[in-house]
Amino acid sequence: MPTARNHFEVLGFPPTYFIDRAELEARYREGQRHSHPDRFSRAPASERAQVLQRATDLNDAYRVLKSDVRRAEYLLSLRGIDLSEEAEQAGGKKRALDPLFLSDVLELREELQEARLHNDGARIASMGADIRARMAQETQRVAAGFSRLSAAAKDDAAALDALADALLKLRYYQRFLDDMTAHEEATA
Amino acid sequence: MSLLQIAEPGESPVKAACKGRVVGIDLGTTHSLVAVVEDASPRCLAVDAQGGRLLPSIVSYPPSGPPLVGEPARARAASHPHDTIASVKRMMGRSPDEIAAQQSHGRFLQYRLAPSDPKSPGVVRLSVAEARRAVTPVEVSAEILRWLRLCAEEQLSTAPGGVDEDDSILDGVVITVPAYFDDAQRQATKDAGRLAGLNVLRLLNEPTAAALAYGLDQKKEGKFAVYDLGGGTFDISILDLHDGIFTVMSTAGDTALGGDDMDQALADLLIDGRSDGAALRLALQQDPGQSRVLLAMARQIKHELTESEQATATLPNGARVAVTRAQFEAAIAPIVQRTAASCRRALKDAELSPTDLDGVVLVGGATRVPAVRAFVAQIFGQPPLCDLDPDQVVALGAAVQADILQNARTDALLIDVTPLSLGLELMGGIVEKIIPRNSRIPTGARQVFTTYADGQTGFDLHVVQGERETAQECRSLARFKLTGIPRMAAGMARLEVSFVIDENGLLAVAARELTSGREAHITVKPSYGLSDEQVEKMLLDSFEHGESDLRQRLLITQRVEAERILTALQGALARDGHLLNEAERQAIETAQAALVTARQGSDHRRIADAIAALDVASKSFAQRRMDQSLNQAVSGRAVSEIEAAVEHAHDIEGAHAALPSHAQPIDPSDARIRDLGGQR
Amino acid sequence: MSITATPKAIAEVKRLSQKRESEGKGTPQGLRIGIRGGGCTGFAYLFEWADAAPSSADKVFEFDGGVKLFVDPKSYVFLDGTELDFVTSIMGYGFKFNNPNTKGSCGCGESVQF
Repeated sequence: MPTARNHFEVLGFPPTYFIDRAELEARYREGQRHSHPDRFSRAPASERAQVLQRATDLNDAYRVLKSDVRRAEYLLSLRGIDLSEEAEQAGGKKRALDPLFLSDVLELREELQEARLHNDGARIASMGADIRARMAQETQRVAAGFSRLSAAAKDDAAALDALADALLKLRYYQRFLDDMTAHEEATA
Repeated sequence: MSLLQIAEPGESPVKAACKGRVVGIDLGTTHSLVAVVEDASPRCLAVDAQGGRLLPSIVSYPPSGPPLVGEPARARAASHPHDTIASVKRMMGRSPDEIAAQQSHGRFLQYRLAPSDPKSPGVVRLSVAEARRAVTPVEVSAEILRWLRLCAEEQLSTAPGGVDEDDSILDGVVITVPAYFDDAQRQATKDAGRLAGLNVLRLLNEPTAAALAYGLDQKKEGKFAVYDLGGGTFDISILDLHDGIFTVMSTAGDTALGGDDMDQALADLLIDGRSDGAALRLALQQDPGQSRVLLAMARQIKHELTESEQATATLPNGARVAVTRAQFEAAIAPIVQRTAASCRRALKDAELSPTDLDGVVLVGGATRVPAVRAFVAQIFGQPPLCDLDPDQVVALGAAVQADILQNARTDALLIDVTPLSLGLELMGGIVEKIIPRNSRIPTGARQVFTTYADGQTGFDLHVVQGERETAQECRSLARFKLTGIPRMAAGMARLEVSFVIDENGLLAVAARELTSGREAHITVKPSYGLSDEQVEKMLLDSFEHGESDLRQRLLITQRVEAERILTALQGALARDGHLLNEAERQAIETAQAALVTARQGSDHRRIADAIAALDVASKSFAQRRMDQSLNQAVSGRAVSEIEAAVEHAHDIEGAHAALPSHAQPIDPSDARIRDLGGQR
Repeated sequence: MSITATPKAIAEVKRLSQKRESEGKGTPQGLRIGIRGGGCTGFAYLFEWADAAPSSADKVFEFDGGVKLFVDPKSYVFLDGTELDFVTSIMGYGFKFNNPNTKGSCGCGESVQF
């Protein structure tokens, strides 16, 4: 399944964080119009396999580029910074997060546990709002980081580190939110 | 014919070979339909001799001969409850354990489970044909599909002489499934299609099909929610239509929630409100036939309450009860409420709020219930659209998609999503999601795992589908092994697992150990599904049972039909023959004799023609009998006599209902009440 | 008998003709319709712009706004009485021949039988 082209190339964008959402949608649609398997339902099997691959690449590229976080992570991975868990599992160097941040998240989890125990819906909702606000802040840091990167002539290691840091935090927050909603859905 | 465009001089296209026909099939829990695109617009085809469009999804297995499908099967439901399978869609892709659990909740009680085949312990088998046969839900569904195929071929064939088994004019079919069907249920549906001799071009999600029928019809652009509450399943999908491309943004739902549950709730209401309720319930449990009568009655009341504020019914024990709409709405409120969570989740996954929607489309017969409409309006903050027949819209959309595929059309395209997350079970039973729900398909993903024990030489892979965090709470799709990995320290081996979901939403999984290059591939055949060999074998079995001889089956059905009409007519002549003058009587008798002769022959078309001719001949007779009954009813007699007279009028209606000119009461549930009512 | 066209069809032919002109593909003399061999049941419709003037044997039908249809005499045998219509529907849009002479069309509708 490896694809020769990276996600940006698949959709015809330069590898940048700043992508026009409407343009992304338009290019995605145009791509699907030409390479969706439905257009080739009568084609020979070999051609259909190729088309299936093209359509898959397109969907994957779209999924990554559409999300600010995934797009940012992907850009870092193109620069050799792999934030994925599998890289960590495979013995890659673990990025150390600010211990203060970690203990903060731990506390949040305990607070959530507590709120659930007391069926305190209002508190859970306000925690959710708080997390979203923090995420918005980190997302801004990410955007600022990328605009600094693109302004600089060459990659600045400190800027990359700051980006990785913000993205990892975002990941923690996202997981926290996911857990929260999964639990609410399951108990609804 | 297809529409033409003006060509440049000398460039008028020449089509070398003829393409076959394609149809769309809505294989529903309570009804199934088949539709075709013709003269550039989709229409539903007739599925019975009366020209009805809705085929009851019911199959009944007599002790010998081919199974009955549709209305004739429904007529056997009360007398042969074990052998008559309804709502089989709810059993598709389910394990024997799941069905047993359902039975302990009072569902599927009328069916007898046969011991499972040792070769496929995960496949449900039902004992039918007075315990002479065991069939799987896939086979039962295949009977319905086969019937629809037969009807389609019959009506689409242009060659005189009708269907030629070796040279089917049906090139392919699109079958719809609830968006929320998991992989096992999809595979089962596809197997059923294959078993019915159909080339399944695509499994299409029902709400997507509905949107396709709506969107293209109205040339609308924007974002739509499709709220689909059918007989047994609920789906909600959010779609974006832009420039001829439909993108499914999100989908959610419940594969075990629908109008049937409303009937059940109403039946419970009818019984539980009574002082003798407990005794009645016990009696019903011992008599599955009666419990079907009760459910049919509940359904009838539900339909009545769509129009009026109050309805009455007679219970199997003869007692009359009245139900108000408010009572009904209170009884179904929990069911309707259950759809709300899915609606909210679909909106959230699509990153939309209700005000972003340009319209809400209603699909499925259960959306006719006023309380459902009010609820939808409230949740989405706007009145729903309902200009297309909610019963037909899915089949129409399926036909459109079949046409798109057949002609590789460029003006319309559908991009669908996978409804449930797919993942692998890790150590400790935790699920690692590989492909998140609502990913656009086709799609693929890879993930690398490692060993947890020193010297581990194999991996057990367990593929699951669902949103919960532990494998136990998700649906098990498949297990397979990758062995022969060289001994390494824990954490050294690198197992790359890739998931690929194709355009049908079906999953294939491959695993490769990166350091040694060992590989294993599996097209996921779900744990509860059938192997290819089993499908092949069933195909052979069905030949043995004579089910594939389409002409033979049509003939049998037409004979049954002729028999029924002749019997009814005989009774009518004996009772009301005096209403006819000599010429009329002779005309009827001639037509009657012609039908008797035709019935003995082997040409089903001749029988159908003779039935039609008899209908024409007896039309005014039927009218006069109706008038007479009604006159008798209103001429100031005792109440009981009036009731008897009305019953009689109903019987007349029943006797003539089969004839084409009286085919207007399309709603088959009316017929069901009537059929069953006769046996009270 | 003759060949007729619905107002919608005439309007569409005019619109397409102007569009073709604006794309620099030339001004058609008219529209040629006919029948020729092909397709699975033997015949298919011919439906294209005519850049050349009609021959003396051709039948010419003129409609509002100068829209002209040319039909060769052999085809006319099969097309006499046909109405040209323009249809928009769920399946898209296009022209349609309402031809009373056809006995049937093949399954896919690409060709006609007489």
